[in-house]
Amino acid sequence: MTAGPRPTNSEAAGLVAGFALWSLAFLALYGGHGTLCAFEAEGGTDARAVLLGIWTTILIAQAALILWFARRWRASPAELRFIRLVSLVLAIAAMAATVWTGLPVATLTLC
Amino acid sequence: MNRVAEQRDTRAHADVRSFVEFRHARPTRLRAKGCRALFGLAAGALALGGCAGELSILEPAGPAAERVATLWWIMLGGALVILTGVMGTALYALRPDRGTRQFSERRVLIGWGLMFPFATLLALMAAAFWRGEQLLARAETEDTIGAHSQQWLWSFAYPDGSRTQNVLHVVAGEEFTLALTSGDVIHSFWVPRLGGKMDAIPGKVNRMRLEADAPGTYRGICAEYCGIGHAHMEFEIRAHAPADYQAALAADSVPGDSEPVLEQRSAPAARIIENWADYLLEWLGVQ
Amino acid sequence: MSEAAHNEALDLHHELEPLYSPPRTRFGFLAATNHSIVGIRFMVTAIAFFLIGGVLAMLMRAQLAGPDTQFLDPGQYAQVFTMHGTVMMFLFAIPMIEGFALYMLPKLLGSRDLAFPRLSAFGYWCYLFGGLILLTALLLGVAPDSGWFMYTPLASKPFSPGINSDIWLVGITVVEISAVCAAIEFMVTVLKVRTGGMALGKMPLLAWYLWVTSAMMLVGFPPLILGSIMLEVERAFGLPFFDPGGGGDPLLWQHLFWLFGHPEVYIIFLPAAGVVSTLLPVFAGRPLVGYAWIVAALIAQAFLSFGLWVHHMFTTGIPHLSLAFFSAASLLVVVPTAVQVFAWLATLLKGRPRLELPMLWLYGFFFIFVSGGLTGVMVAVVPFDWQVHDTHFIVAHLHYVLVGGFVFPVLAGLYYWMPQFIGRRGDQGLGRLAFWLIFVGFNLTFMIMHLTGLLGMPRRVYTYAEGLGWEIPNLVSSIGGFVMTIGFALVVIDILVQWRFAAISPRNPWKAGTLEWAMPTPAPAYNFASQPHVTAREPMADEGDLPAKLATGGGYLPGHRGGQRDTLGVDGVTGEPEQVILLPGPTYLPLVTAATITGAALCFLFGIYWGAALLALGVLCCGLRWLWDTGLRHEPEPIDAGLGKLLLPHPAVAQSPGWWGMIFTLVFDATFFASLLFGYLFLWTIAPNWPPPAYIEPAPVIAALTALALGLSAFAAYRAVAANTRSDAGGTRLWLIVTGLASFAATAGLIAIPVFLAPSPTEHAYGAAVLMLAAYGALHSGLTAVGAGFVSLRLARGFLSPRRSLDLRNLALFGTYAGASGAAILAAVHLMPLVGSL
Repeated sequence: MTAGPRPTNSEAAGLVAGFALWSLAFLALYGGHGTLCAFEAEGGTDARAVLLGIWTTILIAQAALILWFARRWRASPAELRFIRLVSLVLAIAAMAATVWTGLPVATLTLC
Repeated sequence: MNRVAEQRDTRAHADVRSFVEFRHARPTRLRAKGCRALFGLAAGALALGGCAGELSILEPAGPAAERVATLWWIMLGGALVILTGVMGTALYALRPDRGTRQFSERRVLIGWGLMFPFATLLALMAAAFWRGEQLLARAETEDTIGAHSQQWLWSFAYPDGSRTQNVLHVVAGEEFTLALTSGDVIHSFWVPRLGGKMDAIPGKVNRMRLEADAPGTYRGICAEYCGIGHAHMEFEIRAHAPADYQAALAADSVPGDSEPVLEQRSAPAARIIENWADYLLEWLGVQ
Repeated sequence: MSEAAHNEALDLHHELEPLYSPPRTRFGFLAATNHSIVGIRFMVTAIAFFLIGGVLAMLMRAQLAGPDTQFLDPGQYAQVFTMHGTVMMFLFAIPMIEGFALYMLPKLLGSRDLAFPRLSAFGYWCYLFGGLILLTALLLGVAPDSGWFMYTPLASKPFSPGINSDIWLVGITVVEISAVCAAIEFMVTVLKVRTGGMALGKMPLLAWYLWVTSAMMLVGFPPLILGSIMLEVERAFGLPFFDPGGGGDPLLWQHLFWLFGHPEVYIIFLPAAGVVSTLLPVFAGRPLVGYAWIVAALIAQAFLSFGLWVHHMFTTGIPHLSLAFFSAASLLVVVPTAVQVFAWLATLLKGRPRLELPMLWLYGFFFIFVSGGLTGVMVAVVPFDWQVHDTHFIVAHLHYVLVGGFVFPVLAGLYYWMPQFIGRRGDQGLGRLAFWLIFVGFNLTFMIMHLTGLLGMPRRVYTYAEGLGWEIPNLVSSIGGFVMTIGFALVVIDILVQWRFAAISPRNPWKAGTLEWAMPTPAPAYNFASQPHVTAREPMADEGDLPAKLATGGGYLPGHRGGQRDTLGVDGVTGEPEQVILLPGPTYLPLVTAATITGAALCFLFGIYWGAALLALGVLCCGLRWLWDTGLRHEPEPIDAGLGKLLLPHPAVAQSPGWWGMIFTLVFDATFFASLLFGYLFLWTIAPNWPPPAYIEPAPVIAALTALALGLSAFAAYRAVAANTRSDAGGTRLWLIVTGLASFAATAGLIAIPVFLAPSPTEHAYGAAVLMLAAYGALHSGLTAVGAGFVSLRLARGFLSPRRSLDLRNLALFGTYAGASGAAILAAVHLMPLVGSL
């Protein structure tokens, strides 16, 4: 008589962790930019510094996530290998996407 | 002696003229070739009009439209190459090679699936950003012309106080800035031969910069659905040589606003449909 | 199969078929909850709406065939183009996906039904009734006429005074209910309702595609539903959300609409791509290249597609850097698509493709969808979009990606799964002719339309003048349209002919590897006589005699136990069997609930607000009656689930489908709330005519008491769970009473905001936004209070025990959400004016 093994549904959350951070970066950069420009029509170097700071912080978080996922994948039992590999690949893709998404902040006229 | 000089002058003029003609002719020929390629893809389509037209994006008459037209031809070329590549590969796969194709799956997925799009898109994005920066409107200048839209006409207010309706007078060869406003719903100001469009949104002022290369008349339309008069909400830009500008503007000024003219013609199918709808409502006892 | 085995299979069939079929009475079909029946209903209705949308398109093409044509007047033409878009997007594409997933998912996953069968049926009725509202409006000449995207202020009351826009807002919202219910159901089903051994990594790719699509629906629909509600209350009660004169902003509508609108097109594309990923390996004769790559690309694409929406608003005057974010993201989303395309190409190259009829459609898909994707890349470039936005170039682009990316794979799937649906497979001649007519007709119509757009022809014009060069391209497009129509008519005829006259199909005619072919064709009501244990991605290829083994009861849960419909529930990631999910039988409740909702909607539409309120209460009663039919009144024994497994039924298990259903419902709810907060902040920072004439009166005492009540309610709910775990019935009852009273107090505190404290909602958008926030909070606290009462009743009737605790745990989850969102509302409403005056 058994209720089954302990569910490992939290692994599925790892799938979305990387891109959840990307979403956060997107919202913070887009929303932050909109708010900064609404309150200060010119948008000087301070505003750009704030946005670049947000961008860098999230990139660092993503790099940390990638290292953690890589370690988890190497140490995973057989039945969890697939999902941990996909989680890792997605974390890397999300970091690349965050770099790409932030390029406008680094290169264009602010407001 | 004079005759020789004259002949030399004539030849020089002829050379200059033919050079100028050549410069202008070549892009048109390229555009025509591009158009023909486009038609070729549409099975059996006839191409009698070419790419020219009063509202054609492909017949630019201003620097902004010119740049976008060039960008279009480059993108079309690239797209045709990629489409041919993908379809070619898919059709090639139908050949009866019987499992003799060996290649690294990972190399295809990383190389073609990731690297190739990344590189192409990065280049495109860089070009897009650069162009976009160039087309930005600068801060409010003295010479902003107010362009007010309402259902279903355009009225323009000039810095010197004059006002015109459905005709915008500008100086050819000079950049002008428009301040777009709306009195009711969202409209969109678009003169395809001069540049892109910008929406006129109630409660907001949107600015755009345009320039016409040469004197002439350039048609414009409203490009955002704004009700039953939308299809007839046209206007035009008349670009004048600097000398002629003031006179033309004065001649066209109107003192105040007038009612928009809404074209209504009888539509046979419309009446049938209306009658039928009325009949149904009557039968249901609603009217 | 031997004689004995054959008889055994027949016995099981006779045992199961009547159990899983709807009642044989005259109106019994109205009570059906079987997923195959509901799925086919969805698909047939969707195809009917597709044909209606097609007729509307032909009316447009007839009108545009020549210059200055006067076939329809501008008002009618506006109704036609609005309804064409609305019908195709809301009444064809999404329901087609829903129906297909309803039908196919359980079979692919080796199950007998989805997680919530009654919810499936309910979804169908909502879809049908909402669609009928719109269809009736079309027949009566009052169809919506401000475009399928209903931009404000054109769709607001002053400029659209008739009932037309209200019909769109109310009718579509009723249809959306079905989409949201389907999304929640698919999320739970793919996670929990699989057969034993099917780990996430062993699932058919189509299941991954449908799972990701459902997640997108869950997060993508709330902005639209919120926007529709806001516009409808603006029209009905004068709350100026989108009126710049009253502190509203027309762009708020556009943001909310496109936040939904862009993911919508990926929601439409992804399942079709899933069909391609399923069919291609079968016809190429080898497994798909890059399974893990495609899963990763899929999830990346889902996320990225939520970052694109402003590319529909490039011409609205938003600053260039903001536009650049979306231009960059729009370009980036091509990468995961490219990964999938090259995986498909690699599969073709490495396999031995055979050009059967479904494969013809897939090749058509390649050409058309890739073309559409390429023009999509072009319009992602802002300066180019500034020229072609709102022209026929965009019309051409969108039809290439939607028809190529959705309709072609759907048709491929239709022919591929025909043996599954009707048990027959016939000659392909008519089908091939139809394909070529549609392919040629489509390209004739839309390829030249790119040029029409480049020549400057805008969208949504009912006629055009001579001399602009638009005559010939439009005529060609109209001719192409008629060719395409003939093609689609042939497809319909072909399906009918095959249904009546085609030869009976052998088992697994395509030699496919997925589980839907492991059952008799046409599919029986119960899918599998016993459920398989799966260890490979293509179970049919792995085990040759799988169908026979299952039919004779050699898998999990053979036959039935005590006349109860059931299916296996597994661990989400590993696929280890975990529970036996008890499925409900046929019932009229979904129909009654859907009819009540529709009644409420119609009352609201015609201004009978007391009727709408009354029927809304009726919906609540239906919901409670529905929930009453869940769970068990006695402590269950473990069930022999076959293959040596002894499993508890789902009411006695912690991670049952109901719990996951609540989680995903809260995800939907939270997204709705986030959209509402976004709207509030957007109006505050961007909308013209702010600050408002008056802010909310400061009321720190009421705010603090309300916050306390919210916290107490959530705390008490968890105490009740803890008490129940100790079998302390008295304690549980006490904490439930506290929950009920505390949430009732919180509701009162939230209602006090618009009634006593905030300025008039009709005067300025600030008051309107505060009203919406307070109403949202009050609704959730109110439902928590009702829930506490309901669960107390359940406790009294013996539905709860330490193991059977779902009711309490769900109440605690919901109460916590109500508390958290309520606290956020209090902060947003009471604290923002302090920030604003800084």
